[in-house]
Amino acid sequence: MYRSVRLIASPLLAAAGLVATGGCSDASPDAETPAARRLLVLGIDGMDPGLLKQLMESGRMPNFSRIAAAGGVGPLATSAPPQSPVAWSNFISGAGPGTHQIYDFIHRRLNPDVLGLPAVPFLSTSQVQPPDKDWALAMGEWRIPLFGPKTESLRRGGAFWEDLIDHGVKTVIYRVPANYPAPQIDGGTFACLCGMGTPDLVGTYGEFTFFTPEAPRLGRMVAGGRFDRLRMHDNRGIGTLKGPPNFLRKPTGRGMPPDLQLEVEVVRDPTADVAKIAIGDEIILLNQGEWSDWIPVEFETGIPASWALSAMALPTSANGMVRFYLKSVHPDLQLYVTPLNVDPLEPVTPISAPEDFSKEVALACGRYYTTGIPEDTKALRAGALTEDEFLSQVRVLTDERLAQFRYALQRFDRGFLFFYFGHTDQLAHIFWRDRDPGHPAHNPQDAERYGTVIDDAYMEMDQLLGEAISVLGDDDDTIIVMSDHGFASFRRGFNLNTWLLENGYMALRNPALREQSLYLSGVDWHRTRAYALGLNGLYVNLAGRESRGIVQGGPERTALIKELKERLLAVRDTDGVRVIETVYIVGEYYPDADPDVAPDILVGYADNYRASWATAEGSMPQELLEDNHDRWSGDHCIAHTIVPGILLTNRKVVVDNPDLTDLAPTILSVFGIDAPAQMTGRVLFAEPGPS
Amino acid sequence: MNWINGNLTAIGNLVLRPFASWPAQVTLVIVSVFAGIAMTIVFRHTSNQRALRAVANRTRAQLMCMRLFKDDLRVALACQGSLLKSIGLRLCHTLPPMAVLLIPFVLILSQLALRYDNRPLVPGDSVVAALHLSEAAWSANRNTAIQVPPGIRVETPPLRDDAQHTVYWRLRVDEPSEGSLRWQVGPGVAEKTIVSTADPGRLLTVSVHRPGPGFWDRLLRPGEPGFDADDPVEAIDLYYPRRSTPFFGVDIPWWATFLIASMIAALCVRPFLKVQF
Repeated sequence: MYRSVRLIASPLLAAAGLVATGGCSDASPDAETPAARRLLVLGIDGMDPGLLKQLMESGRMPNFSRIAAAGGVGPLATSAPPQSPVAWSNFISGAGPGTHQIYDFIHRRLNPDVLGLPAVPFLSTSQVQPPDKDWALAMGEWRIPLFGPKTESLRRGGAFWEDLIDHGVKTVIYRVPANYPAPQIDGGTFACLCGMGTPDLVGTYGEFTFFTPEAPRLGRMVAGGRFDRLRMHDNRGIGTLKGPPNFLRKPTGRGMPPDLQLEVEVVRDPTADVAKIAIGDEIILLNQGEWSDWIPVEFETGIPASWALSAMALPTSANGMVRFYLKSVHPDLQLYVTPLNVDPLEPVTPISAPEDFSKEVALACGRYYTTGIPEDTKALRAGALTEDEFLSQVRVLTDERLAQFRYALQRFDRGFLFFYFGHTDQLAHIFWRDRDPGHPAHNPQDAERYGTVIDDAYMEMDQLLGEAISVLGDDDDTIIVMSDHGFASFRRGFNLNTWLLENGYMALRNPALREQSLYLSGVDWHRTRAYALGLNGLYVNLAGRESRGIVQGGPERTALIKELKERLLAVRDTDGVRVIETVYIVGEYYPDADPDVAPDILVGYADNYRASWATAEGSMPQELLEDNHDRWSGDHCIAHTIVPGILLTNRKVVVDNPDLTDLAPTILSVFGIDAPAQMTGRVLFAEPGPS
Repeated sequence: MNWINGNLTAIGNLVLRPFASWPAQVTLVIVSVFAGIAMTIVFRHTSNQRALRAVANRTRAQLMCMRLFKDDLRVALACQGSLLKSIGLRLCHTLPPMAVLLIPFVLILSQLALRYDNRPLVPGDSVVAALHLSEAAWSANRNTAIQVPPGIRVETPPLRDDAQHTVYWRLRVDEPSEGSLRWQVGPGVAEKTIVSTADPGRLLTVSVHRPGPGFWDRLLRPGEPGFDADDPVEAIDLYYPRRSTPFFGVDIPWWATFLIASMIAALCVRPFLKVQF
């Protein structure tokens, strides 16, 4: 259990906070009131305390060292499990998963009536409710919904910014994860741009398109994208960019309306490495190895008399934007297209609060990536981008973020500013093996070339912090730099469903088809007592909860969970090394957990181990443990004690073992606001103002 | 056509120069209001106002007749027939002034398109230039080089599209400049204006397309003189960014604003000018 010791702000400051409560007014509060203070929180996803310490000790992080000298630096305990949506929800709510009910990137939908499965996975932080079919005008093959789809956040409980706003503190938030859709808050001075969890135009977390002559004629889907063929003739090729489903067409026989499409025409010079791309009304010329600017694209639904519907403010097309990357021109033309991002200038769905904030940022800093995790590791892992090309993509988006950070700093006159950088996490996932000689995929050539990629990203964050320090020079200003978790090497993958199968907790309908069983599709649910979904979750096939549950609640369930815990902790690798560090029984660890949402067990893997890729896909290969040869070589979805995040601040921290949940009450305390009862975290600083 | 276009563009520049730094929406509304008033005056003097008034009076009478004799089917139908005839007659009377107005209307629209369709380039913008050559001139000139004025940089090698007889380049604006792109094509030099400024909202003549010999091409793209039929260059394009002219946050096409504002202006001044439409 987390300690719930809470410091109460002094009565004087509490009174000042009440005075500062301006409600809806944008008027600057009195300079003496807490609301006039400035607090910057820089969220650097995945920044690892061990690596940070090395860099600081070698003098390569001078600005971090400067802040640490004024206040302190150290590990910040992360969430269990240490997955970003869970960790950031801890940060937002000032409490653990028992409060916000986010336990994984993936949750399961119980009894979905799909292929006879008792549960199917879905992304845990938000869900889209399609428009009601009964509220639509039907005309032939067209159907005009009178109401749009509704997107709702699945994160429960409050967020610390609600209290800031209630107390008149100007609050600006750039991309805090697990915060899509944007909270619609009336009154106050609040602006918020959505981050991790924001979908692309198709409704996924981002699907790239890669045009290559090697693709099959009808294209090939890969995880996170598709390979499509560009039909070249006389240096001219035509391809098709797939858009979202045509939201004005009736579903076809397969139950889905046809996809919207846009033609992409590519012309290359007969000898020079340059190509022209024409899409919609746009014409772009790219040299080989170049990224285009953001190109707006419009998918027309093709509905007759669309002008009349437009005049009634009904959408008749879907606007988005893409960047192109010309990978090669000769002998084969290869063209990468980013996922269809929501255009911040014309968002088809709100990606900020207020809705115009995304536009304001785009007008000031240019268009920018809007998908939740824009670093296209999927394209790298699928072979559409090389390491260098992936790094160039990360450079493009980091430059966008830097421009926005400077813009935010310029306007930061008072109150609370949160700014998030996520590329540090994605780079660590990809390039960790190049700094780990013990990794099975480590090779000296790559290590020579990419061994300092993560260090370089950290040092760039240091420069950025230097810029922030130069802006926030006042004594009253507080700076907090934090990360949600650290990193560990992902050398070996554990096939949890294979273990369940081999130990009699799971059974297959046809064992001969074991290799083809994806997403638990071949499981015999009448003989299965437990199943794994996501990266840390293990579920009991519980009677009355799962439609084909066979384990009775009460003592039978409790006994099974205990047995699973004991046996999982006993798992050893071929060399005798422990594979699982700890096993959390959710009902005990999080007594308020919703049993329909939470896993029954959270598996905390040991250092160098993680759930295998097959476990994440719900399949069960023959091998129990396998080497990880993937480019995705660093991870944090293991025992949370192994991968704490970092906490750096210019204020003295007076609490031992600070935790992510401590940050929300601490932020409130800086502005003289008492933490609400929901928050279990502690206030980290002795005084509300800087020491 | 080149002579007419050149003079009209010069007049347009002269008239709009004092307002170049005003918001584009404001100047567009002002121009539309004046155009609406001017076209109302032209309509008055080129139409048979007496006949139009007579037809209008008859129309009113026929409408009244339909209301009065709605119980008498035969009379009501006769009134409806007369009403249709009056409407036809009214249309006939408006045709001559409309025919007269069509020419200045098209000229005004093409002049406005020159200023409101696209915005000038600003430092940091990139733009694609396309040199369209005739089939006969293609093989001898497909390797022609582009010359750019100071402040403009060429970012790509030429992209030669053999099927379309077109060469493309991508240019980048480093500094505001006003000058011409140049190509040595055959014995002559082909030119195309390029406009870049520090202020993207500035109202300047922005010619996207230097036309060829076609009448309609020249009529609708009046910014630069057209190439002759025997010229090795057929046309030159410079794909400037689109200009948006939003009103209250809604991006309305400039031509829609023009039509609406000019019609409202015409309806407003009609009683004062004693014009019957």
